[in-house]
Amino acid sequence: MNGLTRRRFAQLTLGTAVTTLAAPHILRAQAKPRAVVIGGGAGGATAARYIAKDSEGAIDVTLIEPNKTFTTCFFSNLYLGGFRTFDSITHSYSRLESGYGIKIVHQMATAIDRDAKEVMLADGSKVPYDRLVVSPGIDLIYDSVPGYSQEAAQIAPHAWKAGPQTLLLKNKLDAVENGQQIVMVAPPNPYRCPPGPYERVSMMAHILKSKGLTDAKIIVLDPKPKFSKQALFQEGWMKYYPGMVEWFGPDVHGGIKGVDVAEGKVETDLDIFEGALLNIIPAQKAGAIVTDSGLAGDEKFCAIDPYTMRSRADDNIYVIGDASIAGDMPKSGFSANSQAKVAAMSVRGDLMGSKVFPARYSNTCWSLIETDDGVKVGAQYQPTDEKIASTSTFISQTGESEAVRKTTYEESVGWYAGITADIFG
Amino acid sequence: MHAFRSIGGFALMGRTAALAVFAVLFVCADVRASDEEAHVRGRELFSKCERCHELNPERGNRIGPNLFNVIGRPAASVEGFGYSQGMRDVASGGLVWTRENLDRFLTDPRSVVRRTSMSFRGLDDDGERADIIAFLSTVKPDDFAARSDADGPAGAEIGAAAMSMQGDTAYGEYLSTECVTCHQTSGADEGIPAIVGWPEEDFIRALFEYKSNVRNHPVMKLITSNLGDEEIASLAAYFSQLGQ
Ligand SMILES: Cc1cc2nc3c(=O)[nH]c(=O)nc-3n(C[C@H](O)[C@H](O)[C@H](O)COP(=O)(O)OP(=O)(O)OC[C@H]3O[C@@H](n4cnc5c(N)ncnc54)[C@H](O)[C@@H]3O)c2cc1C
Ligand code: HEC
Ligand code: HEC
Repeated sequence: MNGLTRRRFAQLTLGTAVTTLAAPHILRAQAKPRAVVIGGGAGGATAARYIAKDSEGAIDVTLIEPNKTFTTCFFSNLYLGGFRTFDSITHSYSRLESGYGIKIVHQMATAIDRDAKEVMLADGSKVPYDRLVVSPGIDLIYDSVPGYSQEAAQIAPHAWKAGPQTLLLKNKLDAVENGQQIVMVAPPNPYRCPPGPYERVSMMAHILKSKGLTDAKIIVLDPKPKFSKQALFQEGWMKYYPGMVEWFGPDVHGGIKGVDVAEGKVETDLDIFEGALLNIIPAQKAGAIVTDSGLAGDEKFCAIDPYTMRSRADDNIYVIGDASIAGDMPKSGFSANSQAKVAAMSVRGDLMGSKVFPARYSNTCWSLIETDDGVKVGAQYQPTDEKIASTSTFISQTGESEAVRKTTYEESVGWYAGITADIFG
Repeated sequence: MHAFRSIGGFALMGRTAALAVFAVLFVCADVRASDEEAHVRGRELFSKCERCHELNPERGNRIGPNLFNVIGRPAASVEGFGYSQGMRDVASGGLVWTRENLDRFLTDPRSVVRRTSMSFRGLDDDGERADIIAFLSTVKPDDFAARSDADGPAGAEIGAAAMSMQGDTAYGEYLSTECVTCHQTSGADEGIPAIVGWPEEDFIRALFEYKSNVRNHPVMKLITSNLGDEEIASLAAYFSQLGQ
């Protein structure tokens, strides 16, 4: 610990003593302080688990999530590529309930009454809170691609929220024949999982190639001039899938004009691209509950205090994961899990006066390019007054040995087991 | 913190019993030249294991259980060692470390013991495994007597300051939340090494080796870059008591 953090640590320890005296207040006013979490994904389930685990029953924890199981977006590309089963990326909430005493309410939260400190549910009932953690992930801005809509997604899946959309995309992928074309429309920044679309391209190419369909083609129409791990992906596509993947940035296609899913066509300035399968990934914003309750102001995502993940708009509410503006951190499951632990600690500090240590944030994202060929990118972050700022980063190198790439893939498998144990108990 | 080596001890057999075994080994020292060569090669190859395993029955457990006299021993039978659930499961299924079972385990540890905490990828080479097994079945006091000297610290040890500190387990528990996104608290290794129940010194040494590029790994380099002595000592103290 350097001098600064050591002092900070001492201060915090001292601060704790004071708050511990102040806390009984809340404790006297009602049986137990109440923490409510909206969204049982990477961020929300982690936050609920850590608040419950570390408060050892002293805080009443409720998790609001409409679905009975959670399918992770992370590793959903590996499912498309045939490296994972759908079951192996689907998790139940049973351990959160039985092992940690979290009350799980399988409903949609429809509104937040911030004055009354209550969450409204779809069935009309209300859940009161002392502290609220909101982690609803993203909503899709369908019409950011003209002609695309929620209905159109039944024909041309986005599969950017895992579940039925993922299964639909897999079915359509498995039906592609030799000589046919897949057209992906990639999303503009900011979106969840920066390397995700390109890992998906790799996994789709892997399936085509392993079935001998090397005359099938994948066209990527990207609104961005460059993308995450670009050199690594392009090296891999050239090496494993020669002639099968073509990526067009805006300087080539000149702009995406719209999509006609019934006809299977995407129109750009340059040309009209036809695909037997269209995978349209539109622009994204925070889950509606965040924007509807005014937590995001005029923005698409919610501003937060970098030291705690507390919403800038409301001291009783924390917003984490994809829905937050987390400075230099990418929107990833790893980031959401990391932010959840900072928020959970701060919630316990608020409600029980327990120690609040300085926040630490990190992220690593692995991608699979072909069997046993994994790459990764990662960073450490520190909160500053302005934002969560990156302090150091690394990325896999082009031309790495097969052994390094295989180990990298094996690490990602270990990470998946680790993070899902950390999220769901 | 230097006391950890004697804690835990090698509980399977007392000192006298251990000496009796040596006596037996010496009496049956009808070792043919080829066995002798395998023993020498195996002793060399055991360097792959000794970061984690002690052979000297006097020196107790390290990251892994003491391997003195392991051939013929039931799995998970060293008292005071925190075995993984996976290892305890195969042990209650009756697994004994016969040469054949050891050979299978060393080929691919995770295929024999699901979610084992032994973070070792396995040895592909049949000959190497045979040599290590030959060595393990003929270990003599000389083998580890010589080794403990070679082991000795040469000059100031990396991470010495952290090793001399008393780690704060509460602080360590907080810091650990960053680690358990990858390393499992259950000690299972499904692609990322197990780090629970380690002697604190080994833990501290490993983290400093990443910090100072003695070990090269971009993720662990990044993670350790802003951990100081107090953080590392606290993490070591916290993780050492997990899984015990
Ligand atoms: C193809 C793909 C690959 C990816 N790969 C990786 C990867 O390799 N590594 C990585 O770290 N990340 C990856 N990600 C990103 C990762 O999935 C997300 O960043 C992460 O899930 C965000 O967590 P979250 O808690 O913000 O949202 P989510 O995990 O999406 O959870 C949100 C939850 O909130 C619920 N919800 C929403 N609104 C309400 C409401 N009003 N009331 C109640 N519940 C509600 C939803 O049902 C959902 O369960 C990938 C994403 C995609 C699409
Ligand atoms: C990174 C540390 C590490 C390395 C390297 C390592 N082991 Fe292990 N080993 C362990 C751990 C930890 C366990 C306990 C596993 C469990 O409980 O799942 C173990 C268990 C064992 C066991 C079972 C012992 C018992 O009491 O049941 C044997 C046998 C073994 N190791 C042999 C070896 C050999 C031989 C090598 C070298 C080729 C080796 N190990 C390398 C850490 C290691
Ligand atoms: C992003 C994933 C990730 C995170 C987070 C992480 N580690 Fe690691 N760790 C790894 C990987 C991968 C290795 C194996 C590195 C190698 O091959 O040398 C490793 C290795 C280690 C080792 C050496 C294991 C051995 O068998 O020798 C220790 C000790 C360790 N980590 C401790 C920690 C601690 C403490 C933290 C938290 C402060 C942490 N790690 C956070 C991925 C991670």
